[in-house]
Amino acid sequence: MIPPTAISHFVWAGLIFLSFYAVYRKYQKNHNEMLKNFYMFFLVWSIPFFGLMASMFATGAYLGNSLILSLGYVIPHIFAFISVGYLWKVQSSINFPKYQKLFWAFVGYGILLGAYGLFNMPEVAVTDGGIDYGESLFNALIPLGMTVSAVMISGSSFYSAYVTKGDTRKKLVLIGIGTMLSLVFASIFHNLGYTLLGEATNLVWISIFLAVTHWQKLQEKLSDLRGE
Amino acid sequence: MDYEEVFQQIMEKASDMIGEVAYKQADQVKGVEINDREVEGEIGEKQLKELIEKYHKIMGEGAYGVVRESIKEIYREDESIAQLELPEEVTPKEVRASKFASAL
Repeated sequence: MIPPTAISHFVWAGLIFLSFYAVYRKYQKNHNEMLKNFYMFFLVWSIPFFGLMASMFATGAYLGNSLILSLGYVIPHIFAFISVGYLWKVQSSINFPKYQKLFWAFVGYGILLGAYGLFNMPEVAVTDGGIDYGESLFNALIPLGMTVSAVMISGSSFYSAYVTKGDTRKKLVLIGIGTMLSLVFASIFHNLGYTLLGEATNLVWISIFLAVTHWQKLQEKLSDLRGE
Repeated sequence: MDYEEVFQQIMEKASDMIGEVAYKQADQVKGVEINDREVEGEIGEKQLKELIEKYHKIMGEGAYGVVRESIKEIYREDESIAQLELPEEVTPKEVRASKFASAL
């Protein structure tokens, strides 16, 4: 049986891909480097992180192969940190252009985490239809890295929101909140085994990013609803 | 908001620091004429860059600070300045943020 977590992650990957596509189309019209990094964040999160993880969990569960399940936990998380690195590039290019190079620190952490995971493979299993990530240091290193990243990225986003106004401020606040929810809360809830809470958090942060990336359409819909 | 308004405001801000020299330097920008401290001519990204470079030669790095401050003041009044192409070294954080967010 394919675990519901794998199915939900296929759905999340698809929704995040919509955000990628929306930003990518805007980049085609306006070759802004920040837009490029923003769509890369969605693309890497959507396909090599959530998409690959869901595929490997589904395959591992279907074949009853625990190695595929464990690899499906370890390998996609390398890409998770690469994806977060792109989000850092967006924020740093606004507030700290000199520190864009820190992108490579995110990539490095992802690779080291992946290497640690491969040599100390976490025991991942499907229990009662859900994914049990077992107990390992690897499980702790993910939220540790994600929390540090979230503080840097959302802190920068909230600061930008503070010095701007109007829709710019609203979008940056939403990006800050979405970042905290995706990198810290969803990750921690999943790793602690609160799957339902983790999935609900995923739904919220993905909705927030969809709102940000489809801002114009959303405003038009809201205007229609208000009868304006 | 257009380049001409930005050019005018930067020139006025620079004149607080270097006086009449700010207008004389602006008058030397190709395609630009200054009459009664008012800018005339076809002002675009190129002319704005040239003005900033002229001030940079006189004031050094401080020129970028003056221009950045001027752009910040314009931004507070009119967010649409974020739509203009401005040199990286004089673009304040809020304008960069607005450029990103408005492109979304």
